[in-house]
Amino acid sequence: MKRFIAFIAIALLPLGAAAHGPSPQKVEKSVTIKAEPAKVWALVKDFGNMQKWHPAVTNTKLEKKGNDTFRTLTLKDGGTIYEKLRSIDEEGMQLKYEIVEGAIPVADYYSVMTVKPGPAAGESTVTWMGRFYRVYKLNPPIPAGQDDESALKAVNGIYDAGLANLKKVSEGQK
Amino acid sequence: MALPCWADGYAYITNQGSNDVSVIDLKNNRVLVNVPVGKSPVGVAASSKLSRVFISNVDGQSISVIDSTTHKMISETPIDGSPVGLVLSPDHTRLYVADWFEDRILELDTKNMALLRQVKVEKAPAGMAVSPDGKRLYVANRDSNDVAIIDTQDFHVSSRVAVGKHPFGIAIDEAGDWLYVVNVQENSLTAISLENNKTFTIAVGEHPYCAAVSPDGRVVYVSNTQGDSISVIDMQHMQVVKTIAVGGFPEGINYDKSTHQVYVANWFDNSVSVINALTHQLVATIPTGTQSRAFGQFIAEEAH
Repeated sequence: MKRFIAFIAIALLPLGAAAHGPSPQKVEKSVTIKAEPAKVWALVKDFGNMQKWHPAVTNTKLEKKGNDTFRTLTLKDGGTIYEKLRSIDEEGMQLKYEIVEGAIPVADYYSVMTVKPGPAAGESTVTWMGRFYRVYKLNPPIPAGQDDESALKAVNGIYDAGLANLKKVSEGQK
Repeated sequence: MALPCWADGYAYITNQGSNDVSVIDLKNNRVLVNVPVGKSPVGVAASSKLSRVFISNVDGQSISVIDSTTHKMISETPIDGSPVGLVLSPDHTRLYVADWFEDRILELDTKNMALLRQVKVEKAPAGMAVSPDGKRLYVANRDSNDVAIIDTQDFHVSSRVAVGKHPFGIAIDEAGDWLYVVNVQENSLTAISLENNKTFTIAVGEHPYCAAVSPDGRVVYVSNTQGDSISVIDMQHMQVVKTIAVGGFPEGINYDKSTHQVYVANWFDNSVSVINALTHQLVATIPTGTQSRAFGQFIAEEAH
């Protein structure tokens, strides 16, 4: 998680879906939790309360603008991330959202979280997937901190820390 | 009715994540071989006439050439920019390359990969298509929300047509009457009637990327990356008549004339979905390399 917090130092980056490079990156992580899917899904789909399970988030502010729902995540080291909810599929236990702007070195970030029952009875498997681009929008040479590696490191850190703690919270430890 | 399966055709699927190209034998829908190419291959233009497949390596900043008789890479040409979109002239003597970051189109000689001419387009040129007579090159400008029409005689931009937000993929019908442009951030397709450049907008699925046209021009298929689906558009009524579920994040899409099947690369699932164009049913899923994109003309057909 230290690696993730290090990137908060980068000033608020406008990550509006205006422009990005041509090579999207992908991160996909999974965790098996010893808790019923309904209990885990209740935490995941609660778009306005990410601080309940993600250790880097101290506060979540939900807002509605017309038909759209947004949230502002306040991070432990002071940065913020502004995200837009894309969909909640109750039957498929799937949440989709995107980052509008925020203190992570990524562009055009889109993410899907899915909760599935199993593998064993009473267990759940959570998959967190992200598709995004690096920050730097021109040809190489790429400045440090704005390359694909920085983007991947940041997202991997967020997912690893998040899923590990989601497991703890769901299983009743914390 | 049995479908004629007499073509010795192959599909060349660029795998951005595994830096190789999966060669699919269309007779049995199996991967014959994975050909290593440059770094982050995305664009593809396959020529059965030349027995060559051209691949754009986005992060490698180069064009790989695959010999389709041996299925081996025979050259890698550096490009001083970020080549993404590729398209061949109708006679396959010219390869047009869209340089995403430098906002220009390069014209290469397919015999020796020499750079012949270049033209500036604005901004972030992505997908391309060529008129059947080779005289006009159409380019989707992703960041200026328009299509540039390039006159290939003197290689200059002769006109621009405004389309929707963030156009990426582009396709032209066989007759050269209609151009189809996919607007990623508007969830729509712009159909341009090329005789007068009149535009029509058709709503499709979520975050669409690419399009393919049936040989008779009646049906257009659009890949919806965030909907994990294909929108099937009836062009006589200009509306979606079916949505077919495919793999995760479908992107590059081509219509295979010999078997009447539609092939689409699934970036997230690392696979290719195959759709029967007569029944619009999913008939096969082929595992390929990682982060498959297949952006461009990836099916080369060699009819007997």
